[in-house]
Amino acid sequence: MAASMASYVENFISGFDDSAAKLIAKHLAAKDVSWTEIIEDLGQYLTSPTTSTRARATRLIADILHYIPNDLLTEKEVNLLITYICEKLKDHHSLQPPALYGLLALCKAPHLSSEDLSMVCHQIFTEVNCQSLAQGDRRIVFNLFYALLTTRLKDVQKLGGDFIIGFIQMMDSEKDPRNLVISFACAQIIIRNIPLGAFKEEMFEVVSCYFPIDFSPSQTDPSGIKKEDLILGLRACLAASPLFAEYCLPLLMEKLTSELKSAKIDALETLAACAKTYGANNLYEFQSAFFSSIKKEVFLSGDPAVETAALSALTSLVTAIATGVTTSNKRHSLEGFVDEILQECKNHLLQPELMLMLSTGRLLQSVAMATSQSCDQVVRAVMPLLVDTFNKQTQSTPKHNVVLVVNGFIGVTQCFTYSDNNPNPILTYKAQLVDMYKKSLGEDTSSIQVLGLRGLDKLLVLGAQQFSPDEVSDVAQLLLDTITQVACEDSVRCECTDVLRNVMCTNPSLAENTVYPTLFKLLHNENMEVPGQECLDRPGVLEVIAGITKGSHCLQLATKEIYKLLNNETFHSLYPSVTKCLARLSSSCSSDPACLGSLTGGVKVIHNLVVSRCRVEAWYRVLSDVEVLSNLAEFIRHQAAHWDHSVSSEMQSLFMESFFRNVSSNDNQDDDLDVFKGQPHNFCPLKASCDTVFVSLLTPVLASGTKQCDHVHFPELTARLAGFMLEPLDPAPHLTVCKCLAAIINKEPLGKTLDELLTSIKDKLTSVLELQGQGHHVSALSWVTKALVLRGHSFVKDFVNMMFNLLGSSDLGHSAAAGFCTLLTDQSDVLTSEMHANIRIMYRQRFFVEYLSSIVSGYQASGPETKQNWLLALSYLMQGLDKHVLIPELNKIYPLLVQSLLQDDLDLQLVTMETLSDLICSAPEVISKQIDSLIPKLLKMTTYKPSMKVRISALKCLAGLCSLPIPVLVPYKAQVVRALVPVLGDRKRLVRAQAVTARQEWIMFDAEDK
Amino acid sequence: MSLDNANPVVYERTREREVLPEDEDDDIEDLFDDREVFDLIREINDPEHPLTLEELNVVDSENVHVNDTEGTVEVLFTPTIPHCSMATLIGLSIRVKLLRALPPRFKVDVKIAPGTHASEDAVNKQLADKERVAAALENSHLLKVVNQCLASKRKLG
Repeated sequence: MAASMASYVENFISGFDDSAAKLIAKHLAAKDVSWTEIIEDLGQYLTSPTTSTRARATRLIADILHYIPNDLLTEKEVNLLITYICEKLKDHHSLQPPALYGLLALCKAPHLSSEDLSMVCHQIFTEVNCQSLAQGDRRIVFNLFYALLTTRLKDVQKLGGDFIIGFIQMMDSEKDPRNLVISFACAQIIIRNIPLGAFKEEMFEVVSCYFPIDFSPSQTDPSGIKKEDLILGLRACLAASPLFAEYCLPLLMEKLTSELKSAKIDALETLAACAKTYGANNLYEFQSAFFSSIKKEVFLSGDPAVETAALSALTSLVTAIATGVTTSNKRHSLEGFVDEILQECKNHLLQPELMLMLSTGRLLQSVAMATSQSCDQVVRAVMPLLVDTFNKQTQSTPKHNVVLVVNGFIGVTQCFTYSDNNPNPILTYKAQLVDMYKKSLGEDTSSIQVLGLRGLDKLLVLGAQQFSPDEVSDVAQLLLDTITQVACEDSVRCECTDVLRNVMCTNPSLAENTVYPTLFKLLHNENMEVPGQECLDRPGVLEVIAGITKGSHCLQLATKEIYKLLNNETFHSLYPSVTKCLARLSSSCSSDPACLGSLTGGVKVIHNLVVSRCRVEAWYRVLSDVEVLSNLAEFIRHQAAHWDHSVSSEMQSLFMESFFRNVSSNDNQDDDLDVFKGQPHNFCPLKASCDTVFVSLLTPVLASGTKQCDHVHFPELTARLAGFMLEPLDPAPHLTVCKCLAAIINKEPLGKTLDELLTSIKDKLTSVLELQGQGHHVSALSWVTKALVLRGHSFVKDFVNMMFNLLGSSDLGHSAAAGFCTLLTDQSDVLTSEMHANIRIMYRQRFFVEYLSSIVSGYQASGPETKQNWLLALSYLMQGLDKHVLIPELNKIYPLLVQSLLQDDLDLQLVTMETLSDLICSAPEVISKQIDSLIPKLLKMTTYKPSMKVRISALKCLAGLCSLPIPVLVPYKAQVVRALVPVLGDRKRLVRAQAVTARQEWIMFDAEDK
Repeated sequence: MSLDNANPVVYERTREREVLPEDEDDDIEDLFDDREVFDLIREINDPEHPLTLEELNVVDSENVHVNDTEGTVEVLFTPTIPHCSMATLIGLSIRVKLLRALPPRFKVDVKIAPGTHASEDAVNKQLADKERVAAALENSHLLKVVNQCLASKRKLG
């Protein structure tokens, strides 16, 4: 053993084999050898007259120390090694780095005694001149201190001032960002935990000299240190102790006047961070000066980033002042400070037509945001002024500004909690504010009306208990009047709806006695349809009902009436609106379990309606309307996703029973098919047992919930749907059938039934597609494939390959490409995660990875007339794909994208340019490489005659390119700027506008505005 | 920094132009109109305030006149105060914007609205002199200031 150790050591010293340290460490840990033996083996090298050999030997010890488990050494061993290695610090300077590295390992040892710790520190402080070491070795020193400060703080504290002055010397003039990040972390711990005593100024100097941080990492910098890391590290040091206030505040004051935007922001953010630790006493002296600097930035900078920083600094400043001890000196108190601020700027609030009004509003709001006392003081000072100003104004813009500022203050008060003893100060002005909001609702400009409504909403929430029923009902009536005026703009009606909904939630009786009766009356009022009406039409009223209804109480009131309308013949013309209203109600309410009862009632109503009335032609016409059907399906879909198993079973058997009612007696499937294909005008009521109405409604009942149907007729249903899918139906019913079947296949549990179903579908499709395949067969294929791709079924490959084969076909190829759109575009009504579809995680990415090469090779092998099918399929494949999946494959894809731009296919060109736009943002480095081929093609397309959409897309892509690095763009600047001149005179205005933007971006991308 | 007018009146912005069905019809040709040219210049930033020329009412749609068939554009702008020292710079910015955004067939006139500025004639003369405008744009400092006025707001944020 000893012999092999000696040879390891020898190999290491001669530089052959660096792995020796690891091996020796292993033996040490296993106690095969002892330290004594190793040191003996090393003896001759450690005492060698050649410096490099001694350094190498020290290095071996250090390496071994890093490899052994850190609790292996006993206190005595640690002591011996430390004493020995510290001696090495005094040897030749080239021995210092390995010695420090060894000490770093020892400082992490749990058996390090506090005497040894103190020895390490003293030796380093006396023997090591940090500035003359290399960057990596300096880092070892800082890491060593960091290890001691984080694990042995108590022992370090005992060293007191010696440690501080030693550290200051080590850190002094450090320039490397990697080392600075560590040394800032050390400094912060020191400042917080060791009394700085006489060294506070030195400590401040050694960190503050880096303020403000000016550092731009090179792109290839491997360390990954960002400017932000340094800024935050330094800021934490400055904010670590109130002792720094006397030095730091003047420094921040000075940097606030800097021309450099980043320095200004850094100073403001640092002020925000420091204010709390420094405390009121340190800040009094500077408060006015800081306030006037902050005010200047808010009023004049016009830069949102500076303003945000300034406002949050002001909030912190006021918060810190508020913590001060109350004294009789008014100047040194929160009240005095806020008073001073108010005096300086409240006059701007009196002139709401001028620019500074809004800035002043924001400034005072950040003061109010600091504490509830400052909020109280500011609100009481400004609210009367604002209300008064509003009443004096005649123009709309100033009024708009006043309401905006008032709303801001209401928002600020929401940050604090109030009680009965300590009410929200805003409520003192409740009456005046309600009056102001009512007046703003009477204005002509919709933006004021909207603001007024928002404020009113907040006020009603704040003071829910403070409003009497009369006041609330007064407001509700006003809202109702506004909402039912035909002249009311959409944005206002939408806002009104929100307020009314919230009001009704807190005042249920209002809903029952006032709101719904008024609206229902409008619905039943025939005179409403008179031309030149002042009042909202009935579809509009239904939209309002859908918007204001929330919670089980309101829902019950609303649905009770609407279900009645469904059975009322005179409302046939309104069916699209009535059903739309139901769909919206179900969408907004079904997540509330208390609402499900009212909603399921509706499903029964609809079922009854279809079963009993559908055989009457007039009713059938109305019910089979595409819009009505899709609304009803949506109504069922949203609630079905929340049904429990028993409700699901009930509804499923309700629908299945009626679906199969006539089959058993009549059992004539050909007739069913005729009916299904039939138009309403040759409708044959007695034979109806299955048709598009029924399948449309069946789909959500069967396929939206978590429970798979177990009805006895279910297998028969799927078989019949599979049959219908291959029939030449009209496009709309065909789509319905495909969706229903796809949703069922997606959820059907794995097993024999599913396999048989899929095999039979596959065989049938294969045979029809070989003989006389038509578009609807392809679309059926793509729906089934979609159902399988989503769940990741084992049959996927066969079905996808069928689609690939079709892409090469000259007559069905285009349909197959469109099939890929079906396959990969998310649907809103079936196969979604809300409808509990069986969706495999990252299915899109998997699909892309699996089939990309088939598409690329298919494209290469295909003839000229089918090439674009492959390109189109590829474009659908890439849509919405995560860039991490796309980028590795871009070299393969990019040539195909360029080909797509050259194809004379409008959709393909547009989709491709959309993909390119995405890539410009997500993969700039790839696009940068290809810019040479891309720019001429895009420029050519900016004058593509047949379609303005292509021209606009191309111009958008060109404008998007300007986000690439400047050096990439510069060579093309002149060419692009020149080539866009003719496009400025395009015959279409929308193209011209885009050309102006693109040209502007290209002219200005290298202007220095950063 | 001292401003000519530290707290100017702010005006409401015009709504975005509505897109009509015929605007999206490939077969109909859209002529240049007053509104289109106004839209080009209304977003120009004021050199002093964080506001656009439209918000300061320096430009308004009434004072933009376009004749597509004759190929003429006339823009009259109103400085916020009669002694505004920025009038020339504002005029120059409008000119440069239109130079970059309109097809070269248009003859563009940018002037101060009559009676709204103390040295109206002098400024108008400068703005009308093509060579002086070209020379001004050779000056890299001036170009930088003009570009700041023309930079889109989104980028500044």
